[in-house]
Amino acid sequence: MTNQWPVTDLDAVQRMRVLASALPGGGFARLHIDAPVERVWAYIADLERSIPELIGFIRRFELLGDGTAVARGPVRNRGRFDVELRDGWCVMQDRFVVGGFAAAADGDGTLLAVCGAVRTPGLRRIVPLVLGRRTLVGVLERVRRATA
Amino acid sequence: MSRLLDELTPYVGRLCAPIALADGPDAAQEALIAVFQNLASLREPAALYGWVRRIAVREAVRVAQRSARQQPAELAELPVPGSAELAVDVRDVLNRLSPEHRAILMLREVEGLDERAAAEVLAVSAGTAKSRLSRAKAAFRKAWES
Repeated sequence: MTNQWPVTDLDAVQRMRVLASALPGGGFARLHIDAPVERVWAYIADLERSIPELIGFIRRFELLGDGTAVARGPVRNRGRFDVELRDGWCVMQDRFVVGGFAAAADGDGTLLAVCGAVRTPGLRRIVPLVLGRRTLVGVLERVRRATA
Repeated sequence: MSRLLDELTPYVGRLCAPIALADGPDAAQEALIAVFQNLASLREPAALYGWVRRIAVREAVRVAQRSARQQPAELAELPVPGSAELAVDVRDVLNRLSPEHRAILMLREVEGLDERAAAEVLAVSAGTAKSRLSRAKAAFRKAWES
């Protein structure tokens, strides 16, 4: 009988909004992109290319094949990220930061969301610089240009 | 945290949809935000689902009340749980009820709670829960007969 009752689900962007709300000092932004979700997600999911193009403090992003990746920064600093990647959803985190992308079809285009947060309380003062809303919107604008 | 989100989202969606109807996704998102922002206050992990249920149902009622779409009706008697009559379009009948009545009905029919437990979830007295359920049943009956 209960299967007669209405049910609802959240798309990946709505889920990302929830996740961002749970990250202390986290930022969240979303943007409509006039490109099909398949094209947008194909770009994002190619993490070794997209992450260095999109995230200013990462110069190289190398997937290791075991659900982790090594990121290298501009001053040879490196971090090992756990990567959860599936269709329309990607969350990456190391000891210091966590961030992710989510995409859902939005008419003929795509609603793309990004979130980011610093996991170490002592580093939260730098959040507006590296993961503030303006920075995140800038990331989404770069995806828009890359998938135009 | 991402895994917990995957685990809780379908459950919260099942609770919110019968109450908030078209606003179900908004209600589910608001409920999950409230859940994740207050996770630290959950002292007993075993009580997770009951705690989430309380938040989700109250949030769904709040979102549904905010919406101008609600069209409460007055109606006669709900069929017993599991009866064939419930095979009618439940959504159509729910549309005619107020959010509070949808909430009590969902807690009874989907969650299988008794009146006392449902009253606790909704933060109302047992008497209020009983009277809402009775009116919801009446509404259901009238909807079928109309």
